[in-house]
Amino acid sequence: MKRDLLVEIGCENLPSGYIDGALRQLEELFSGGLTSLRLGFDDLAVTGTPNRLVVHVGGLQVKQEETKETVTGPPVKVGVAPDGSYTKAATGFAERQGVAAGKLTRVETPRGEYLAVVVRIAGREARTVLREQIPAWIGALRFPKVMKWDSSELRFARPVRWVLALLGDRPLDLRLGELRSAPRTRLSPFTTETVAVKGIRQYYDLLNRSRIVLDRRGREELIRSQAHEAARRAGGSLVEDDELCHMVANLVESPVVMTGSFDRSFLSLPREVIVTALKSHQRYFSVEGKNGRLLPRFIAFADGARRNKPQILRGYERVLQARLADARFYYREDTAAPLERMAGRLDGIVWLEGLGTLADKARRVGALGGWIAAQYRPGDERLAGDVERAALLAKADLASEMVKDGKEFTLLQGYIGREYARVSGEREEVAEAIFEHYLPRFSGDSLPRSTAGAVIALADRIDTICGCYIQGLEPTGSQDPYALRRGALGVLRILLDGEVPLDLSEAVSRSLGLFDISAGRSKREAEELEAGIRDLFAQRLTTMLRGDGYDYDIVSAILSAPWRFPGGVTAMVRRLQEMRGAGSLQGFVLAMKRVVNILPKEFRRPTAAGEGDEALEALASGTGAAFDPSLFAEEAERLLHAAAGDAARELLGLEATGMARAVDLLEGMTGAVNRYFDDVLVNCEDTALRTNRHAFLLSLSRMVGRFCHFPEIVGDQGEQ
Amino acid sequence: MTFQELVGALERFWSQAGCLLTAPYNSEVGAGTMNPATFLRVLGPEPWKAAYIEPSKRPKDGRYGENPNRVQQFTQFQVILKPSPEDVLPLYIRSLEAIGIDQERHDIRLLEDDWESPTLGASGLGWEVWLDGMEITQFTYFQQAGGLELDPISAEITYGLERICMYIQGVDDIMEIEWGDGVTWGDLNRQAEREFSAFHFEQADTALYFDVFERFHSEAMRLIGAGLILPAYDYVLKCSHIFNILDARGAISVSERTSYIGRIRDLARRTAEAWVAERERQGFPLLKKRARATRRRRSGR
Repeated sequence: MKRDLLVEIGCENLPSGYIDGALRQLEELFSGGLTSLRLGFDDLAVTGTPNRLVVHVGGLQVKQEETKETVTGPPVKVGVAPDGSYTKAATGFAERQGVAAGKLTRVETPRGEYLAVVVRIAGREARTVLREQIPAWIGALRFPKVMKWDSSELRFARPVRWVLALLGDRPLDLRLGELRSAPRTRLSPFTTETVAVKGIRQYYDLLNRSRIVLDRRGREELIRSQAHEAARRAGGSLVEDDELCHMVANLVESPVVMTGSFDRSFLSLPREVIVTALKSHQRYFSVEGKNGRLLPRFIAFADGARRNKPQILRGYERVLQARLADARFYYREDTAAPLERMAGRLDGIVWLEGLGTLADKARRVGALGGWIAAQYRPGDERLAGDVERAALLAKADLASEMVKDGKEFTLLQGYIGREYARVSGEREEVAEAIFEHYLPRFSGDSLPRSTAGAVIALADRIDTICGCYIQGLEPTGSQDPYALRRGALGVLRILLDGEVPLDLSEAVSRSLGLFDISAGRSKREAEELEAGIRDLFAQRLTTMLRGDGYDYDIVSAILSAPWRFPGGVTAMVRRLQEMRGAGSLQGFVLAMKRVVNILPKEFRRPTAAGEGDEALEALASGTGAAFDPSLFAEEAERLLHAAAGDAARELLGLEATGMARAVDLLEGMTGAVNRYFDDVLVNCEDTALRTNRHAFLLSLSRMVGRFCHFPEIVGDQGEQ
Repeated sequence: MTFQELVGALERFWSQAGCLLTAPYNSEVGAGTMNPATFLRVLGPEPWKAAYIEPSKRPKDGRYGENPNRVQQFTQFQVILKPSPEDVLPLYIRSLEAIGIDQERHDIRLLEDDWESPTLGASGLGWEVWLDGMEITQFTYFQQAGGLELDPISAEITYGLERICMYIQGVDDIMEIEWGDGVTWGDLNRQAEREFSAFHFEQADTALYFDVFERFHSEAMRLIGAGLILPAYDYVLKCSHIFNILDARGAISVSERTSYIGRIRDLARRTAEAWVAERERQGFPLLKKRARATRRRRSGR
């Protein structure tokens, strides 16, 4: 037989940010719990409002499934006598389990063979087990912060004031902390008045009649459509904001839409300042006209259908008026002097303890930015000038009345800087760079579009990463208080998006050079810091590329080589992956591994940057090599040497963006390499010949290893 | 409804709800929470229900009496209920009805606000209460005070009287609130706002106050050692207020701030611990009061 189960946990207003998480957990706790109790069910739905969390289980079995359990007794060698009869140990065990000795069976365990009985466990009534278990499931809910409110041990995000529980249409008696469930609910936590609930159907009817929109998603949709409709009636259209719809849906259970106005004169404020003033405290929606400019109107939601709407609306308007007046006051104060003056106040704001002020940071970002700009567009004086200016002003808005001290408008850092830069008559490129240097702010955010913006964004993030590493503030495990991983990802996204040939290793080393490393708390040398930071970037690159579906071994092989340009890394990874897809990777990798594997063990590690460059240059120029070509005895040696030389000369000339070609050039040597190993006995008797061959192969291995550490690539089937 | 009628209505309501009407404290405090009737009484197991108004001094918020919303001294109405009753939230809603704010006719909203006082080592979870979009009350379930975990839990309700009064009277400037009998808030307090703002921002003798802070800090420590807890707590409050003056005067740097706040919190913690120990030594007298009252009721007297 099946019944529906309904549980409503009645709370004093839960924080809006806790509701979705609580519902997710309830779903897991109930479905996992019922399954492990062997109580089958057809479906399970959770939903709720700030005042009630509701679980509805459809088609729940009223009795647990019967089950069998094997109880292990004594080992066979103890329980069974040599003549095959049961010993006292065995009969005693059977007796304790309430079965005849004849029912004993044997089970195989890791410790040997044991006697056992199979016991049937009868199913208990769902009503009985649920009474025991549901309070435990509710008690297992986790919230970011919990509280006590009475003398029970129950902890919850806010006080639980009632519990309604019905199995079928009959009350289910639960105890939760000091509460006992009853077949009653409350329409609001503001009252002690309770309403009888005769059944599950009646529960939903009651809430409907009371205009409580229980369904969380339905409520959000209702809010969205009502807001759109209200904006249309107000003569404009809604400034869409999914986040706000979501927040409001978790703040009210009976949304009632209202449309209000504010003084038209506030429209002279920058748009986002108005939108933020409406949204961030008051949770109002903004309305814009056909031309995309804001109208002096707002859409708000009250909780519950009230009489007296005009007075409520007047209250909303007064509060908003005060907030906008504050914003206007800040705006006027801030724009009374040029932005440059504000930048002058940055020397009074500590950036990070031990790393100086924001003014110091601005100076470093300017210096690093100048170098980065020269990598982007060598000789572009205008860009260099814009970068220098934008670096000086990028953080200036942090000293503004509007942004400082962590108020609602602090969210608008960068945006405010851009507005003020425009008012101060800065070049548009500079203003735009001030805003864009914060991009990307989150995963999926847009990237800087202007070159100056990208340059400052890179310089600022690299500076932050280097500074934090110097102070020993690098990410560890799940801890990343300065969001350096996100910063590193931002750097990579910008570089990959613009295909900018920026040598990241050199950028980091230059950035570190702008700090006094010896004063840093990490007490590490520049080289160690560089390695750590390189690792940070390599990890982010790995995550990005793995996320894009590239194979781990290929990514790892490229990142184990001394890469410098993220764009080069992705180009090579992509090319190798294509080869694997086309089936042409295996022979190529096999050949490259032959070069490495014949060398003594100590030469099979990943190649260092200097070694690789040296080998590449030597093979390209034919001078400075550690081997002597005149000692080559076989034609195959001369052929491979020539092939390597040709490849090396072209490799040297490759741009960072053309790195896919590097893979092709290496692959082009496959035939020559294979012929070499087929024809040449490397470890020959003649010491001079042998030593020379080793030296040549080490050079070749390092030239190849400069781009890819082939031993990391997993051999395909059939390979030895 | 005038300001004083508002106070009267709240006092009547909470008195009928079983609260003792006690007095504001006779030393400067930043909030009703700092009055010993809250800070000390929420500690330990003794029941406690009290309501009182509290002139609350926030030197930094002064604007020489020229800002319609910001003043250096405003008035809180503080209710402390220990243990927090099951119906505390409905009770609060009824108190609003007692001052003419009918929940059927207004949008009354609870917005998550986790309250914390770093100087008192106190924290709690609760809400700010909005009346038609405007914050009028802090509602907090105290979890910790003086660094001690609380048991039982107290509910603290702090009404912002000026805010509520401005709304009821429909005025946009705090100075225009009618206090009573045709006299406005501004008539009573504008001069104080001007003078105290000038004092806090311009005139306060920082050398004197740094010195006095140290002396009062030592005095508080000495008095705690001598087992004189209430006098000691007075000096904790004085230290806190002096810190606020120095802070308003811009005399305390960012890094010093943390250390001053930490020192006051340490005093508050020592006072709290000493208070609980002393009440325990006395056998938690208010627990007996409750037993006495129960006996009286049973014997029909």
